[in-house]
Amino acid sequence: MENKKVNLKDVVKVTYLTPQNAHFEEKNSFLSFKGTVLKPDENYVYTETEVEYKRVFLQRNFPHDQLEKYISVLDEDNVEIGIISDISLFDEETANMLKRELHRKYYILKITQVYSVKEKYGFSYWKAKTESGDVSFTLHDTSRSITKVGEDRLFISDVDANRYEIESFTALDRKSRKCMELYI
Amino acid sequence: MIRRVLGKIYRKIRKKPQPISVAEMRARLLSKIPNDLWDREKETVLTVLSYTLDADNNGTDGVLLFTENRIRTFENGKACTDILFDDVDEFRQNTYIGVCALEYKKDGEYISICRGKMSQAEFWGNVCKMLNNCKQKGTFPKEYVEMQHKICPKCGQQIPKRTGVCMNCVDKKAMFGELWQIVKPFKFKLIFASFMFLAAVGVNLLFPKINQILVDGYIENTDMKNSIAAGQGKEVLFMFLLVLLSMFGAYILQYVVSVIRNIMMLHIGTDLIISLRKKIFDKIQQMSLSSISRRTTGELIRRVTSDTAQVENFISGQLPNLLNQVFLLIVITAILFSYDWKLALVIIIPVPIAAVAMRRFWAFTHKIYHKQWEADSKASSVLFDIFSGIRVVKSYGTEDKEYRRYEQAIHKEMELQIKNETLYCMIHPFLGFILQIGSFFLLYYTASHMLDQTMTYGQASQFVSYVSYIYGPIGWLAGLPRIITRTYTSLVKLFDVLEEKPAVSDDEDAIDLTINGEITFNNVSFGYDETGDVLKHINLTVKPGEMVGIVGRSGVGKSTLINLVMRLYDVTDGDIQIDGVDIRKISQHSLRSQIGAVLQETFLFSGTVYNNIAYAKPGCTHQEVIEAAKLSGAHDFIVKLPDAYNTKVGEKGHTLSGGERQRVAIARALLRDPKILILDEATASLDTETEKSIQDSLERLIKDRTTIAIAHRLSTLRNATKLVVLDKGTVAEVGTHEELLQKKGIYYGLVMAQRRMSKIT
Repeated sequence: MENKKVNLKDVVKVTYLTPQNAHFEEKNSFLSFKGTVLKPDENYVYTETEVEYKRVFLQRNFPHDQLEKYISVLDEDNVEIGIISDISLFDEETANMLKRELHRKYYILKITQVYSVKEKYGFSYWKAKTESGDVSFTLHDTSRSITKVGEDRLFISDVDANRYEIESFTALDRKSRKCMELYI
Repeated sequence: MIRRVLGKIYRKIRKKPQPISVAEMRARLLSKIPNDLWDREKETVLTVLSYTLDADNNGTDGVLLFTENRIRTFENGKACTDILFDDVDEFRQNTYIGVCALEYKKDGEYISICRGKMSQAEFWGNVCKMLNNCKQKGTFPKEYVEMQHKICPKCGQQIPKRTGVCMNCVDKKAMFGELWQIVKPFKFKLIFASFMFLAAVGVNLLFPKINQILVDGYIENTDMKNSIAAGQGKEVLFMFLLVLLSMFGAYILQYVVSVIRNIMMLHIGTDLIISLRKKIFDKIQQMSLSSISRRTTGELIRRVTSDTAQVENFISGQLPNLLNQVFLLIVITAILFSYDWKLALVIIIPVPIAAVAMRRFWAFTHKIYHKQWEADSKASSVLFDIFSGIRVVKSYGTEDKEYRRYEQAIHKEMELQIKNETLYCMIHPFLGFILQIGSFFLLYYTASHMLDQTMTYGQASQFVSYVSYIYGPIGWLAGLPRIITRTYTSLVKLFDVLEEKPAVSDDEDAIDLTINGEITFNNVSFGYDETGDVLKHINLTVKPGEMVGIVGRSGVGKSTLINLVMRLYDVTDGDIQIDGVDIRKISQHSLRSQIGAVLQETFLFSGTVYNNIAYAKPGCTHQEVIEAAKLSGAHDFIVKLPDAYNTKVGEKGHTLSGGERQRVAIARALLRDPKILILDEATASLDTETEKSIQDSLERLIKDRTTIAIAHRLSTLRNATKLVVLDKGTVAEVGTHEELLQKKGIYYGLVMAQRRMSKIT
């Protein structure tokens, strides 16, 4: 008997959404989906099934480093319908639609300058400039609230779960870097 | 410096922002809506709110207006949404990443009304609840008076939700005030120890004077030689011996004072560190699970051990020493001025320069030592992480990787330490040099006075000794920034824990209740954070003695539900009652002492099997322990161990299998003879046969005892009085096994899936 090696991808059933099997539409600033996906029956046998959802949500699988790749498409109950491996596979109109939906889902302000950081009792109070104007926010356990990604990209999450991003720490002005150096 | 002073003056004289009243806010928002967009005369405004983001997350100056029968939005002076209240099926607050949205449901579809930053999530959630309540009652929202932000009345700044207080208005003085509360019980001991320090200073000051008498009176004194020649040798010798004796006496006194002082400091130090550690340990135990899990175990251990040690060292060692040095400085300065004020001035002049330099150095070192503290803390966390997961490390053969991870962490710490200490080594002697510039003038002064014979050898020696005394305290004070910085850093970290408001606390009028066993969930909703509720509108009654099985898919909120019963978290909305009393009105000790829980994660403490079982009921008899173990099925394997119940388990102890640990944990829960029994996958890691035997035992035990059990293996719950199926955070189905099977709903699906699985296996 031939002993054929079974690879992981032979066993795993993932629906990768492509222009061939997925169609998205935008209405009321929401995204709807129609397409063919792999669905298991009660015996866990996967078959291609036509589905339609009035509203779907997008979720980045790697929100720190793959902004337009590996995007899960979820239904209202957060059950995955399929994964978009790369937004650029879709035509420009659909790609822009998907990007807009991602923009609605992820509200992360980009910090361009840090005016001041004052620390008191484990809380730090920040005043900063973002692309959408000046902001002030509070961090608890400052070092832990800042996530360093790669060489000098930073993600900040404040006490209220607001998100901020610094695309390049080294590209900030000297004063901003000095304000933050304690926590990096 | 000038900038700082000007800043202080500005802050004193500036007009502090005043919190805005609801009426003012309302008027301000209404003025943003152009008159032609709505008829102010016809439509009565009930509530008006502001928002900051449009449906596409673009910044906007938005106004949300509730009139008698409509909801309208205006963005940047333009009309946007216009909804008839009666057309809406439901309102909801949806949370995304860094943004939340107020949405309404119409014809089965959700449509966005407005969006805001996450800081407003709780507020919009409340608005939704209010709107949905109104829909249910068929009334329209009355004036909604809650402010969108909590504002500090003192400075006008927004108060962060997690702190509850404006940290901007809390100052260092308050923190040292808190520290005083810890130190207060030792105040008399501290005063006495400080007095001993001062006594030591006083004795030290005697030596230069005795030395001067010795040199001028007996070594360099020509009159003395004449007196001896004149036959008065005995008197001279007697006086000489008296001086020597006084020097000897001073040494003895110095020795006695030092011994008493050191013993006192030892006592204060140990008492203080024990008190501090108890306080911080007690606080950590009181903290909610979410607060504890936010910090790493390594970090918490560090707070209890090294941070407390640093603060203790400062209070019991450095603080009295500071007093000692300052006193020495004042006395010596006074002595020097009484000798020659000009010379004293020359010696003192470099001191302010050094003080300014020290202050600048202090501000700088605070930052770098904080950085070093963080690196040290990270290295400890890495170490703890690796050792905790050593089984995983070894089974994956990743020792080298972990070695590199730890090496990297300690190297970073080492680099920072070298940098900091090098800087300190360079700057500290320089500060010392500035300080001692005055000693050159001193040399010139004493030498010139001795040459023109206006100063004796003894006086010169005394003077030089006193001057050297003044440099001692100043030099010590130059090193003070480092000590204070380290202490301040540790103190901040300690108060970060001590000041945290406990998420779950006993009500002032909390009662001790003898539980009968009825548990009622009244419209209970709960979420761990603003990202959404895990449990929504749970209504459930468990009668005394009933066994309720909770089933549902993973992550549906089953464990959360029992955590709420044990009050490890407080509900976000609604209430849980036990025998008709809200559990928030029952003291936590009373509540938990009558609940026995066997959880998914079984943890055994270091100690014997006996200690681990007896943990639940201090003072229990050996017989009770054996009976509990017998009931849980643990007894059979325990008696096979060479040391039976005295077998050491936990860290450095005998390794028990998962099933054995589980049985010990069940015995622990049973020993308490709880009124309410909680079983969270209690028999999940046991083989079918053992599970069956424990199930039979449990069956006898749970009689007349309220039991809530969670199990994925549905056969475990066959004896349940009723089953509650959770789905999407709500109660989807309730009934007996048979009723639910007939219903052919979620439970039916779960049973069928398990049957298929068992066929396969």
